[in-house]
Amino acid sequence: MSIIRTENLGQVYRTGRIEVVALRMVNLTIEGGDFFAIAGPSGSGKTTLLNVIGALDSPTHGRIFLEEEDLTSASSARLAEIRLKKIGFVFQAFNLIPVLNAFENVEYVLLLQGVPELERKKRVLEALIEVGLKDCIYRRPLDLSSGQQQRVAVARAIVAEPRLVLADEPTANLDSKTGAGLMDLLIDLNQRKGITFVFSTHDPMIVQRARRVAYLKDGQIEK
Amino acid sequence: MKFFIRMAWRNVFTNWRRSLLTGGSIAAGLAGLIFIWACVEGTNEQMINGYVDNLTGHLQVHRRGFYKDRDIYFALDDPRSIMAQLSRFPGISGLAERIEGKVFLLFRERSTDAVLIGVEPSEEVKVTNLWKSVKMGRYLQTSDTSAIVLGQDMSRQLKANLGDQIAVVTQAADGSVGAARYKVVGIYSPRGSDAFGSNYAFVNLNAARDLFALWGRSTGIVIRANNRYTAYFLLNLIINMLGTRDFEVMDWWQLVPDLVNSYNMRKVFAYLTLLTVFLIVASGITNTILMSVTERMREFGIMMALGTRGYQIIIIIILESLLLGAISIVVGGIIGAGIVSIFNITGISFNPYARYLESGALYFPLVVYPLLTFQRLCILSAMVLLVSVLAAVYPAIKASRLRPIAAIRQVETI
Repeated sequence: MSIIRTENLGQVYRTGRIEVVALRMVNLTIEGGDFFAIAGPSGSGKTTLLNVIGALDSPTHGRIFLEEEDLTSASSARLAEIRLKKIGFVFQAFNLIPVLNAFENVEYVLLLQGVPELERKKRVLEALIEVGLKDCIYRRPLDLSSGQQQRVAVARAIVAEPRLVLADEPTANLDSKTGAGLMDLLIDLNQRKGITFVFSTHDPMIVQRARRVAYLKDGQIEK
Repeated sequence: MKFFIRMAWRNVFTNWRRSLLTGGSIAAGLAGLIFIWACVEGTNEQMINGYVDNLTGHLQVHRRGFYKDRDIYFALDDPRSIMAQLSRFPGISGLAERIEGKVFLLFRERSTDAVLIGVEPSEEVKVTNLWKSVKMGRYLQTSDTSAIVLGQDMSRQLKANLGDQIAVVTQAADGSVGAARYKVVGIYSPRGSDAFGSNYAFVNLNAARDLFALWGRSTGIVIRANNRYTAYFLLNLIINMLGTRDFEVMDWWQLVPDLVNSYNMRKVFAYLTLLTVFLIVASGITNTILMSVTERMREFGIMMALGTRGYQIIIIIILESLLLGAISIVVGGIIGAGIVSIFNITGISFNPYARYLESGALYFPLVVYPLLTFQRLCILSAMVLLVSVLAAVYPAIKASRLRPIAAIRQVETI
């Protein structure tokens, strides 16, 4: 069964009288357990597509299904629930909550899900060990390196065991060695845990490591 | 909830500059409101106490018809028996007989009309504190037969000093002309309101009886209650006992109607001023909190992206505001109460404006001693805390409705 399916997806941004078409007629199907890359140059619409798939933004036209549930007709409360329970996010700029330490940033998602404290702590610790961060769990984001911050973001994305993890240019703010290490980690999690990863990138080295790739240009998928 | 409280606590202290700005505006606003209200209440208290403690006492009993014109023909025939009855009441701390009548005071080529009050010094000290306000010379003594104590303004008006002989002329109760000469033994100037300093002169009760031909009689009995607030209940008890056919029983509120009018008028203006200041403070607080929430749109966007519900965003923002507000009102309360305490001792002098303040029936004290009660401190603190929380409601609701990605990119704002 496909985990993601889009039908004629389109996104248009309006700034005053100027209209920017970010996505045009995007039809895409991603199967569960895939390691999927959305590749393309800057401004091609990769991030917009990920945001729409992740229910962070609503498309201006077309439909999008997550496990056959139509996201375009869901209420904002339902979308929040879907983001919480079914999707994990890894952002290009990490987007950790600055006042929480690494442990608490990861714990936050489980807390929203109402997971009991003991189980929560156990799972957070497991996730942080999984991403290789057991030694700096009480450090706040500002006290972590870029690579460590991105690993915290990955731990946060996987801790709730979502069906889908969306990663927007996850290696863009990392040096090549740290970026390659992060990709190793994501591939490992994909293979061991069966989590579906969809990530955007413009780096050909990263694209090579994806199982399937969709190329975007000017908001359209190139055949 | 515990986690959200922890987050709110950390947010307040991590972003200390922002918190200092917001909290500072709340604390300063509260301190300002406390000070203004304390000045208003201090002025009112001084004004009332100036009269109650120095002149009227809490209650007075007269023969019916006396007080309106202070007409000595309406004197009490047997004041001692009424005092004996009153002395059995609980809640009364002092009773004193008085004779009050209108007179004409003369000194050399100067003259003025006044109300002459005859008091028994040993009894009067139990009902009023005028003896404490004698700034020059001394208060009356029981043995004095021809001594007078003048108000400072009256002595200035007559250009009479200690030791000078003042002539007093009036119409006595028997229809004759009452006249006497008294030696100025003291000049009083009550703390706070000295508006009555130009109207009243004091002599011994027996000297007043001789002057007004009221031997064995009095025009009134002054009563001091254990405190000002029980006077009203005492008033009703005494009315029930004496009846209203032959007697008029009045509390301080009725005894000085000009003061009450002035008090009410000033109260309206004071509360309007307080309301205006409160609105200014409230809009300042709203503005800083709005700015503070707007600055953090990205953070709220991230939280929403992770699945935080709209109502949870509202809780987080309001919790932070509540926490910051609570800390700020403690600080503002301490600062405000501290400032009030200092000025309660030193007073705030309005002497340079005396010319304007003493005119008319304003009864404005020339030195204001701000007064703060715990109850008022609590009311103001609660109001400011409520404003701090309410100020966060609008931006919190707006923040909760933003699209997560728009908030992260900060392309949408509240």
